[in-house]
Amino acid sequence: MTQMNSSTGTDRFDVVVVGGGVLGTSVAARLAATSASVCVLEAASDVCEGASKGNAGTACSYYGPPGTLETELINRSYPHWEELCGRLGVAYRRGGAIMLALDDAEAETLGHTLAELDEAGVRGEMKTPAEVAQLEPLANMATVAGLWMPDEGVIDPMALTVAYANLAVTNGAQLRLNAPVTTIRRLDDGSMELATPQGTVRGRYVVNAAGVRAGDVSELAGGEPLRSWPRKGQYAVLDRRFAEQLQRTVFCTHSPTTKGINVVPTTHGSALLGPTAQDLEDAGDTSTDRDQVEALIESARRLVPSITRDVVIKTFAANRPASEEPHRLRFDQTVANLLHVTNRSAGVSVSPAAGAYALDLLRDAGLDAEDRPDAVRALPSTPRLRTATDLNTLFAQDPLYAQVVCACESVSAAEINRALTSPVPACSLDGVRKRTGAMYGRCQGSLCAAGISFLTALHTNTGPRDVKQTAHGTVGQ
Amino acid sequence: MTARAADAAYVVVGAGPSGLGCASELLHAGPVTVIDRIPVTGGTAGWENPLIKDLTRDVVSRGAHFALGQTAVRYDGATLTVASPTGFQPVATRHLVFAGGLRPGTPADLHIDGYRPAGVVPATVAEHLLRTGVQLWTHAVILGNGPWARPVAELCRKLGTRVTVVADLADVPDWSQWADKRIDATARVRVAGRDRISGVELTTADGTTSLTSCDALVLAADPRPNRNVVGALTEDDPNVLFHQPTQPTSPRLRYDAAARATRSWLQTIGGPS
Ligand SMILES: Cc1cc2nc3c(=O)[nH]c(=O)nc-3n(C[C@H](O)[C@H](O)[C@H](O)COP(=O)(O)OP(=O)(O)OC[C@H]3O[C@@H](n4cnc5c(N)ncnc54)[C@H](O)[C@@H]3O)c2cc1C
Repeated sequence: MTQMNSSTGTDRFDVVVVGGGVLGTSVAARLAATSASVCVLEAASDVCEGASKGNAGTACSYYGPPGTLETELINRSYPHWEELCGRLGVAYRRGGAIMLALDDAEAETLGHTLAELDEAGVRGEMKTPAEVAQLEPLANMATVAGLWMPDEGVIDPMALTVAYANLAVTNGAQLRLNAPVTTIRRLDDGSMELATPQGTVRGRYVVNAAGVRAGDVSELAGGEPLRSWPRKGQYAVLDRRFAEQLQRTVFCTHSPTTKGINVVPTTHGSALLGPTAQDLEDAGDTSTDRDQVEALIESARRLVPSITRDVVIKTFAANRPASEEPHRLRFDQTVANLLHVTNRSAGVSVSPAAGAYALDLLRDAGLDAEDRPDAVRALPSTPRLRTATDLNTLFAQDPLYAQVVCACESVSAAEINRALTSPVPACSLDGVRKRTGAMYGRCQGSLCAAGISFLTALHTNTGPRDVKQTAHGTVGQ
Repeated sequence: MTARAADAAYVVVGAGPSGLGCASELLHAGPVTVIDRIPVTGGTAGWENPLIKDLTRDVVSRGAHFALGQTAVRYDGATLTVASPTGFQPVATRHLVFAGGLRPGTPADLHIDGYRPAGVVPATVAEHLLRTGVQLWTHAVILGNGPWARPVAELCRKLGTRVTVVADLADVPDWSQWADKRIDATARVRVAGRDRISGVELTTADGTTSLTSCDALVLAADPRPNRNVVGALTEDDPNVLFHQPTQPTSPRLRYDAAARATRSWLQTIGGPS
């Protein structure tokens, strides 16, 4: 049903999604499996450049409080991660989490959290210090109690976002990169016209998935003032030589104001310490500072005392879209066909159900979107050298698997080439990192970034100077 | 020389001056296989270096087996998995010597604050890129005086890029031959610029901050051992020797130091096997 209106040079779609983060791409992937036509407009030169690339990748079973739409969407999502990630070729592990109480006051808080879990129908169980030590031998021995949450998991949030985007494009969605929406015009027929440097598109419905900039998009469309502000989170990444011993996610007891610093083993075999929480004015501020990083390592050591500064291989920061309304999946109160889809702190965890829920809302509002039986549901899988056990089979599939490019993280030229040629291909070194984990290890690309830069230049038809290092800047000046 | 990696009593990973020194000594104790990612010996000293040619010839004549252009990937204490253009090969060995060289400190190692924009480049990467002969930057700040600092500075200047070195160069009297400007190492370094680096803010121990504008920051400080064979990352297995010293720096002295270290390691593990 993609309608092209060549006379005006404007492409028309049933739905235009603004923002290529985990929420925008999830909605687009769901819509693309229907008869509705969909276009995603992303300001950056790649998908997954906002909060979706800077988070811990916890795929929660519970975030709280009970009774909210967010909790409901998490409930609808977490039982299905294995099936979804199997289809999308995304790393996921349901390793469970243990929330530690280090004194009696914290133990009491844990009791409240357990009651909330029960109310939300999520599995949770109090554990004695001895049981805690068995579940996670690296956890602080001086715990008073632990709350065990077996359905907590971890996911590769960047691979997930890219996979949603790949699936959407495979099923016919159009993706325009480098396409920040600069104006939105409401037309007489009720549809909206969105102008970007990559041309103008028209949509009968607009999905506002612009993350921390959702307020700007709403304003452009003449919608409600959505007050939101960036809340910076800094993280420290731990070397796999330490992190691979971690069995579980270790949460601190929530305080009324923050969920605090946690220790999260990643699907890559590293671990993340964080996040800090710092309210900002400037959404582009993703700087890190040493004092905050030192402080967060100290906090993390309350949970896992054997963490030391020398296993930190990287620090980074990202901004959550903080707001009085931390989760938003509803139509605008003034512009009837503007659907807001934003989430502050659990966007990854709600994303599968959020796509489906957004489709339901759009259908209820009159969108004609039949599920297409021929829609592609699974992406071609890319086995990972790092986790492969049968290396000979891998080699038989593609001899480039034996060309190890990133040795720290065991990433081969086969994986990198696929990242550079997928439906939504990497166009920068950082794009390769997001898709493959190359350069993510302890040497941070010291030994492989030159090689990856050559491969990227080859596929993007650029050279050593103008090959992109990040989504925003080139290697040379 | 790029034959299939052979099982051996001793396997050396890294064919730079250190690896060759280790191999030379190990040959007194038993069969030796030397593996390197790049298809030549010499490592950072370069394969054309006459000393490297001599040392290579020597160990080859004494029976060392070379598997070049091959990458050691995993080690489980008995088998080293090696990736090569013909596939993955298990190489049985009870003794692994890792001489994989050095890499520069990363932003996290160096506690660098601020942003992660384009234009912040490890010195090892800068060296590769500059060798393509393209002027990549107009003003590069080189942080630190690791072994890559001078070669990178020289390549930069040859291509017309101005170079400022931030390092303690008190015992490097000839720095002005390869850099335009020097600034003493500071307590803190912060990267400014969001999409692309615009400068580095340097803060001294007494709290004074100054901004040096630049369009590249080359990380050349704090050389560290490069470790990347899964299963052989930490020094807890007595049958694995890591030999990756930061000093000495000359190839000849590195070779000698490696031979000495290998000799004493052989004694601790009970001599020839
Ligand atoms: C520190 C931190 C830790 C977190 N930890 C977790 C966690 O463990 N688990 C979890 O589930 N969630 C976590 N979250 C939350 C999660 O990351 C977010 O909820 C989620 O990424 C939001 O996705 P999004 O698609 O709405 O936003 P984003 O990923 O920010 O995407 C928005 C996109 O919109 C684009 N855009 C903006 N304006 C325009 C415009 N005018 N035109 C075109 N495009 C535009 C942006 O370029 C961006 O790509 C964390 C977040 C942070 C910051």
